Amino acid sequence: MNTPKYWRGLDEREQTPEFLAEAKKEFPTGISIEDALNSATEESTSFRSNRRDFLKVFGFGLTAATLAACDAPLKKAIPYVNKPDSLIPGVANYYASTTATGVPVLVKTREGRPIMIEGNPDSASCLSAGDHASVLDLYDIDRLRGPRKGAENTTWDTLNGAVRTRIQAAVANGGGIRVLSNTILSPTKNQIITDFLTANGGTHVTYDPISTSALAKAHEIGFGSRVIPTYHFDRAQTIISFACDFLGTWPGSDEYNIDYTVNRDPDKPMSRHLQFESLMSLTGANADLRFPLNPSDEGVALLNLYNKVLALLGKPTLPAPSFNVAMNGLDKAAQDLVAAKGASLVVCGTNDVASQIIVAAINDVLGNYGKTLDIDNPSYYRKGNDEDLDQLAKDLESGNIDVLIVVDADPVYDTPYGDIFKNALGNLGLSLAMTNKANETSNLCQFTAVIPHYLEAWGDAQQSATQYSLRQPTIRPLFNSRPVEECFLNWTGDNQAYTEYLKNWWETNLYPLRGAELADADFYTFWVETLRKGVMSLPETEPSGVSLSVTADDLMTYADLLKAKSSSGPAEGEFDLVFFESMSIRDGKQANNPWLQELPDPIAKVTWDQYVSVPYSYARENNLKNEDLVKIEFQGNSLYMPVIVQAGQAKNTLGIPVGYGRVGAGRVAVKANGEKRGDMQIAGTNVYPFGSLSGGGIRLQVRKATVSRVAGQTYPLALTQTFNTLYDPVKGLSGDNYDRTERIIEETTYANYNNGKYKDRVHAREERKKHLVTLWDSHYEDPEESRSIHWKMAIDLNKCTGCGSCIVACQAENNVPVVGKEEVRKRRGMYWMRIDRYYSGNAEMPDVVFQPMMCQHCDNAPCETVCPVLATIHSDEGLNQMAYNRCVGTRYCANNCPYKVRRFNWFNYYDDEEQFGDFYTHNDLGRLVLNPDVTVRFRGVMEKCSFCVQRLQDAKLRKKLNANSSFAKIKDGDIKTACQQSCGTGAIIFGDFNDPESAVSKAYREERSYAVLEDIKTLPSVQYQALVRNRTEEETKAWEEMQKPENQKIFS
Amino acid sequence: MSHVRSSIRQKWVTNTTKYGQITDGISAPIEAKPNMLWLFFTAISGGVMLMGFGLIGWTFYKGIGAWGLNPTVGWAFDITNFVFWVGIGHAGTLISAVLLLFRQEWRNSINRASEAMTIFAVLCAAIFPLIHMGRPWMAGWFGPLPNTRGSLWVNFNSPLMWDVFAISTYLTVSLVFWYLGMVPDFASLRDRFARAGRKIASAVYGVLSFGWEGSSRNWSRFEIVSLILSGLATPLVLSVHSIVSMDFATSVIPGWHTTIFPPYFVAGAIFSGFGMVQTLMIVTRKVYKLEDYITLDHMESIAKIVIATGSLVGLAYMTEFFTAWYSGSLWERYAFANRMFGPFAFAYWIMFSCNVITPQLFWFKSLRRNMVFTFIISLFINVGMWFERFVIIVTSLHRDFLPSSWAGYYPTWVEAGILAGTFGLFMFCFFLFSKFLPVVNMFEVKTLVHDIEKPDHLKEKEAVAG
Repeated sequence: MNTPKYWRGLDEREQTPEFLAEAKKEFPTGISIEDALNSATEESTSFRSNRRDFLKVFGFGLTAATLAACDAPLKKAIPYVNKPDSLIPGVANYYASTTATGVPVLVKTREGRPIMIEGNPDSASCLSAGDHASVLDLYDIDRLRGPRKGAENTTWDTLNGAVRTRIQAAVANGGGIRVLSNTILSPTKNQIITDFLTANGGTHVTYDPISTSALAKAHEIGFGSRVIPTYHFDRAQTIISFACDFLGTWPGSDEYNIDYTVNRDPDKPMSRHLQFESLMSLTGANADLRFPLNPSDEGVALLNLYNKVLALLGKPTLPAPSFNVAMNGLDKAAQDLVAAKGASLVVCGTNDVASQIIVAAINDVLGNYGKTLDIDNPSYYRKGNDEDLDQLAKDLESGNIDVLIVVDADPVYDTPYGDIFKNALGNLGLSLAMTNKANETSNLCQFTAVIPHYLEAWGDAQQSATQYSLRQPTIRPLFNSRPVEECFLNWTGDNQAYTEYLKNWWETNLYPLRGAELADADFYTFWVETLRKGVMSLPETEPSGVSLSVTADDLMTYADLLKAKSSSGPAEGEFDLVFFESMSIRDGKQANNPWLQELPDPIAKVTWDQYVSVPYSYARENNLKNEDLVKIEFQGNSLYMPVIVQAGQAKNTLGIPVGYGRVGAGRVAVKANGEKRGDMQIAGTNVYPFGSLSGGGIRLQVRKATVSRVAGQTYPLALTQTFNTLYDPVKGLSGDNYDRTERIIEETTYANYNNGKYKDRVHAREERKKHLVTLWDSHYEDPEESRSIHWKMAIDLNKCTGCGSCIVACQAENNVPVVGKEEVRKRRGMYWMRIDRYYSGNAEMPDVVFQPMMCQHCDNAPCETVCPVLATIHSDEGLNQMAYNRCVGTRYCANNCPYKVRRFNWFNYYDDEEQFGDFYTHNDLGRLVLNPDVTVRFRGVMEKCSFCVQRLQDAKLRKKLNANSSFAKIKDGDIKTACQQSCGTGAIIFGDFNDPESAVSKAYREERSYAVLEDIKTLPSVQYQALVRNRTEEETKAWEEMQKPENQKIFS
Repeated sequence: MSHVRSSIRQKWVTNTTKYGQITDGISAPIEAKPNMLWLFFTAISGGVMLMGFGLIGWTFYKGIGAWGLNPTVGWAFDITNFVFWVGIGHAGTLISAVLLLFRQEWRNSINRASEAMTIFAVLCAAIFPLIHMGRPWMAGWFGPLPNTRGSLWVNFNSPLMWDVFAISTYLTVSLVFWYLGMVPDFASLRDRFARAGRKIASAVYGVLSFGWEGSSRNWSRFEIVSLILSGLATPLVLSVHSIVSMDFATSVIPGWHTTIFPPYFVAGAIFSGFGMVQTLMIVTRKVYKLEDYITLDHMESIAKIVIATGSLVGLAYMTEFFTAWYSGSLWERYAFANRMFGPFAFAYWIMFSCNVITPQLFWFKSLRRNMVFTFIISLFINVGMWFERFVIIVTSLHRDFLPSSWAGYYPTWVEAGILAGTFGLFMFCFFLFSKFLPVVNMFEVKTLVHDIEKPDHLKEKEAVAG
């Protein structure tokens, strides 16, 4: 029998899509209050609320009013009423994503908010400090809240309407439309912009503040394709670098760090790295042999190297004036290169086509193309073209441009054409900035389209020809922002959501290229799996075997160019002024990020300020000291900068970091803007405008600068390390030079490591250790007393490049407060770990060593015995623990710590509004970045590295839970401390020492393993593996001779 | 009351023929109205004291960051001042206890004031362990904390814990000893005020005198208790500063980690204490016209102790240096070279010249008896001993093992103000003491008087009988 089917209305009977969508909801959409009250206006439509909302709001309001009437302070801890499926309160979720700069990462989220960026184990790249710090940018209080017209807030409809109108007008006028951006790694974003420009006419100009344009151009000239090769430092036995900071600031350094350290193990054939550079870079600090080289001499040095290599190969050379660096460094380089033919690599960081052509020629003649450098699988990290930018500036000046859309770039600040942009932006038909933070450019644009932070958005990236990665949002957009892609789609007239576009693009372009393991998968599976992993790798294309096609005549022309430049080098008293990227602030984009402002540059150790680094020899001759104020003059410009005396810097060079002098970037960036003293702007100066296009690229360099002391004036700098050498200027009556080297740093050369001399030293060390005595129970050494776990850490000085990203990772993980310049200047930086940087030897050609230093978790801890209230105690797993609640703050523990790793909360850093109010812990938004697993410390309390005890506990519990047993043993890989996970080179190893199979116990058995300050017998749970520099026996002797400690007074 | 004192014994009291003279002379300032000079200086020292307390309040409000410390130099003015003031206190105990046991009767003239000095100095010292804490409101955690899991114990390994016991014991014993010694004098004052009809003052001193009658039983008990207390206090002279020195000696920091510290600190403490006794006594005897009771002979004896302890201190300095060199330890050698030639060399040389060189001038008798000169030397000693603690604490800390962490230290005005404030407190207490309590022990000084004249009423009796 048929039961009648009832329908409620015509919609249900017709089964319209609207009805079906509505029917799925548990509660139907009600009539909005505005409609009900007839007060709906155009503007309010986006905020429509319905009757149900009204009841909620009313109910909440009533409750809130009631609660507010109570005396107890209202703490905003709101439990989930319905727990989301994917989320267990207290347990972190990790999502694979990609940073704004295109680095594949894992994002750690807690209760729906990202709190930490970690490296993606599925991709070989280690994160820079800036990548780690980018999570704080998400919670920057200075972020833009919504689209703007001029300085006024506006709506997306207005903005989009205006953009469409103006573009139509431009198209009608036949005027130029330009899209200006920094390198865009996202293939879909590029496609969308291309589609937009195809539809409307116009071009896309790409530039990078720190450009490698000439490198690409050299390859265009020499190989016919404008690419930046992928460098395989892991395949190179000899690495010769000319002013190329491939471990620090060069594009791709994220990956090169890992590649480079692969061959730095002295127990395997060790690579050899020679660095020729003017300023002391991070890469130079890690080199086996480092030769100061004036930028003016670089061209002729390259030519000489070319000639020496070709002479060794028996090939014709180019005419060039004879030149060599100290210790015949170029000969060594040539010999090493030829000896490792096909497994050698010459790199050059100078943005000059002629130099890059010569470098390419050397690599080509050595047969390195296709082996150590790959142009068939190029790197995409920098695609900028300086000549295009120059052309754009010219077009702007001549008024040929109608519409300029600046996509997440800041040309007013970070190009030499800032003034041109500044003047033009207001007069164009349309100038639009797309950014998530106000910057110098957006402040001058007619419109600002606010784009989401990368943690709020979908996206993808292609780092190189062989690797793609996906970006997924980990939090809902905090503000009224729209992705770049969505805006362009909208302006093109395509109304599909970007997520759909992204999926479709991947389905069309990448799904067919999926690897074998996903061969049978449908697209959905492929998509979900790739999203989970975050990256997708493609097989490398076989080398095409193209070789350099530059005629001998052309080569001669380039050589002449180089010679011409060298002959106009600085005269006595004149300087080559180099503007460089510091490791912390980099190009200045993240200037409003206090984590980075406070991160000391690994070499100069300066925080919060710009400075000029002055070579040691000049400083000594002219009695210049750190913090002295100098005036630097060139081409009618004057800069006032405080001095940092830099050992190892080439004579007649000066270095000034870029990235300072940001005026539109926010409250933190302003703090690093130096000081205005009379007419002098001291530090905090934007130096990008002093760059110029020459030799096919923008060179951030100035010739013939002069420097003079501003008499009697100094400018205070906040340094985290003021004393730089292991020797000491204080000479005792007994004539000791107090050489602490062996007690703190163990280093040797590859020759000595292999010929047994190092073994002798190890024996001597072991002998010395036998005589150490202690008053304390030796139960930590007693094998009878076997504890379940004994946490220990090993740090390989040979793998640590000193980059400092561990410091920021530790800061993010452990809620380490930012304290500001004044406090850092008082040496009160709160970092739980620091990287000590020491020079040794001759100050003109010093050796540099980096030593990460954190709480050593001594088994005989001096701090533990002296605490009167037992606030610091030893755990049965070998941890030296702090009970913050119990600490009364006598600071005795810190005084008695030989490693000086304890940090005291001198003030209420996290909520002393009047003194530290500009930092992120002082606003609700910024506080979202805090790790809920780690207490925020009150003033008067001592703190220090805990070996990330919260991670240890988490890992142990997880292990027990997964194994369903309380006795499950922790294995390597179950746990990584924050610093360890941030260290892509694997310099930091952490684990259970009681497990003989663990990496850490293996590392301790190596003969290179030593503890710092062993003679105090503190029995640290952190041991270091000695640094080995790849030097021959002969070089070892020569360098020792040269580096005999001389007058080190300059360091004091 | 009368006694016979052999004429061959040294005359410690001059120009005195009557007991009443002593009582009158010492009671006079207590009975008189405060004069303008006293009011002026009391007000000034009180003001400085209040400023000090204000700055302590500021430190509590803001945090220890108000001081110039950093993670490398975690102690500086705070603990320097603490050790300095504790050291000052030592002279008082030594005079009242040790010299009593050794029957050094000249101490009778100066023991009262120096014991008072001890109490006030220890009060000043006790401020610093409290305020140097990051969270002073948690000071109670230095004691066992009862809780549901049984009491939460403190770390008996920590010298800071030992300090707590040492200082509190010291303060208690010194206070009791000082107070007890004043009881007979309180009784005299009570009677004098009663005779003068000043009832309130009489009542106050009556309460303070615990009903002292001056009976033989009173005196007998008094003598016994004094002896017991001096027996108790004597080890404290050695133990307190030994324990304070262990704050440093038990650490691993080069320059602190030294076995010589306990005797070295005790000698230094007595040295500095006597320096302060000189400073105070020279002023007090002049202002209150006590030259007859605190004679040049007294001052000379003090100077002799100063030269002895000063030489001990100098010897300790040199021993330290020798040991540092002889140990061959890199760290020790460096620490001491750094003291002499490093950034804080000025402090070292101030210390060395004030503590070792200047006291040697006391070998000249004429200088020992020259009060202007002695006063100047005593100020030098005070300065030198403050710098000794500063040198030990700051120069050892600021450059220890890892050069990367070497740092400087610059005091802030808050710290300097607190130091000044403790001087204000010390002087304020001393001024109150000198006005309201007998600055010289009346009954003990009486035992030192030679050629005592018979009191008038006895003379009359004799005349009548004769």
